[in-house]
Amino acid sequence: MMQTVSERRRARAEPWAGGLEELYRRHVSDALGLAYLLTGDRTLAEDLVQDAFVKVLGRFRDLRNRDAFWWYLRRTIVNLSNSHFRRRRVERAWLQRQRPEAAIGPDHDVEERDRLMTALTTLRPEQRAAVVLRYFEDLSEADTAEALGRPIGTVKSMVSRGMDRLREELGDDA
Amino acid sequence: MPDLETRMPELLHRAAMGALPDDRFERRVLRRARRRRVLNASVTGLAAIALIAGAFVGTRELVLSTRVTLGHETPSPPPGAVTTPLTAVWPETTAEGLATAQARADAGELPWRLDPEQTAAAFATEILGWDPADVRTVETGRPRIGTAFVTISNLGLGPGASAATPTAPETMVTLRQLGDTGDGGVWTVTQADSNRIDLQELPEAAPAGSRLEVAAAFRDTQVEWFVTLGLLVVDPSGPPSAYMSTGVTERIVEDIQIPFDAAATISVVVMLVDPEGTTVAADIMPITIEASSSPIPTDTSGATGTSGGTGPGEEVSEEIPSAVLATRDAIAIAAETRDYDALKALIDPDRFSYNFDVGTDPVPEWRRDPSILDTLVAILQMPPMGHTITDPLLDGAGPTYMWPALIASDLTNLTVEERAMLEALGITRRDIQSMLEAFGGYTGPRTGIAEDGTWLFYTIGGD
Repeated sequence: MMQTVSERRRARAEPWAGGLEELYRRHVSDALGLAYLLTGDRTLAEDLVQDAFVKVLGRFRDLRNRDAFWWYLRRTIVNLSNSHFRRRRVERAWLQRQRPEAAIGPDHDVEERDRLMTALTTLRPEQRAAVVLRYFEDLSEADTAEALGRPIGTVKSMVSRGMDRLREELGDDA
Repeated sequence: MPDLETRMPELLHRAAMGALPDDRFERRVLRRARRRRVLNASVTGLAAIALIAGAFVGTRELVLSTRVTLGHETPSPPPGAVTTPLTAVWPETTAEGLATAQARADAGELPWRLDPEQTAAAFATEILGWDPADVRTVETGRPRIGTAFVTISNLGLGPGASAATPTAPETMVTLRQLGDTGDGGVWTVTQADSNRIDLQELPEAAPAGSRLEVAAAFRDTQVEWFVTLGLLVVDPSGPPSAYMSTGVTERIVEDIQIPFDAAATISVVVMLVDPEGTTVAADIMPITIEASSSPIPTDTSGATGTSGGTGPGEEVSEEIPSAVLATRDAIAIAAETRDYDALKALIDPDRFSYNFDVGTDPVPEWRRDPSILDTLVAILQMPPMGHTITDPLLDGAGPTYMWPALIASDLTNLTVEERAMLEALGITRRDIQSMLEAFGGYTGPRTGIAEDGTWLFYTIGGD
């Protein structure tokens, strides 16, 4: 059964005392979801999440403060995503070419999901990250700014413009 | 309909369901993560063990210059002196050393040695490296005259601020009065047994030169702890030595070599170490060496090699399989002669990792910047460190032999030789400071070869 947003957040915040497997299982769905929203590409999202888990699980000091594990992982995913888009320098071509993959689920869900993913891909990567961190991760503007390493004013502007763009893209449904 | 801002969280969460993990993904991620942990444990874990070995052989004050010396070290016997080994762990391992300590206690110099709790507390601070303020001792019984049990725990290891932090591990220390008994007899640590480590039953004595299998499993461990195993040898006729290995695993089995010198004293040590280098749990068991009628070999190099020393005051030595040495030589020759085809032939793309990435072909980068190969040759010409214990969950993994020995060095207290090695690699004082701040140990260039000769990794730097 699918967990609600608040159930997943509560589960993520529960104390943890297990091994790598438990850490992985607790966070992998959120991590993949975040990476998918940031990239719009499931294969790329899997690659980023794999690299992020390996980096964070492989560093013992990052595991010492278990309560901060998701913070480390999320920051690593965002950084890897931003690095990926910077490195490739083919963002525009990618945005034009990229269309979300078909996903399993009821038809109306798939349609709505596809429309949102298409709309998200029209945002610049960092703008998309700001919107996703703000609304998917439910971070404050200050925390979003910290996660992106950008001034809070810049983040406010990115989120505001990003939402305006999404309203335009989603039309009446928004 | 609610506005977009209100609906966004739910819309995004539904969209995120388009990427759900599967079992194949889990296996891939965890396999890579475990491999990286083993490599990182090798770096930090061995540095921690070098410190502990230094403590065993009475050199801890050299390693940690800020630590107050208790003044209980037993002076080394002069060369040629006859000593009688005791089945004991600390502070004395010979009858002569014990007699000296007893004489000092009789003269009122070592009052703490007359109390088993104080002796156990000193063991916790000097051997396990615990902060004296964190040491908790409880004497749990005296089953017979001259024997006491003291449970020690480190309050700094839990329960901490997080509810997830379990109770601190407890170690039962067995102390005995091996000479005088009663109120005036000094107490000596003869065994340590942690509630987190299940060490298989070991014989009280083993023939000189024989091999002994040591197996241990671990309970209620935390994911950031390392596993280490060592055989500490205090040999009155030569320098003390410590065979060490470290890694990340749930169970270890190591085949160790009992020294040929029956006058030496040995202790099997199994420890859990945290990322700061603190020993959180330890099982320590002394073993008496029985004189053997077999001739003592004069040359054990044969199909194996011997690593050089690594620590400040102790020597790490172990035999290196011939397959490992052959691969080391082949890598060094190919790198030095810029034989890229030969280097490529030495790489198994499914197992070799370059800068932590498995499957990446490093040869194009080496062609662009051949100085990377000069560094590889340099580290392979340096002494290696002890091998790592590998995670049994890693497919096809076995013990890994790593270069250079600097991995196990205490960067805060470098020897002249270690400084020379670092300089040869172009590592500056500022680099060392950065390594200490970021990781607490050496994170410079390093390479590893599996027991079967497979070249496993080359990492230019970083953690």
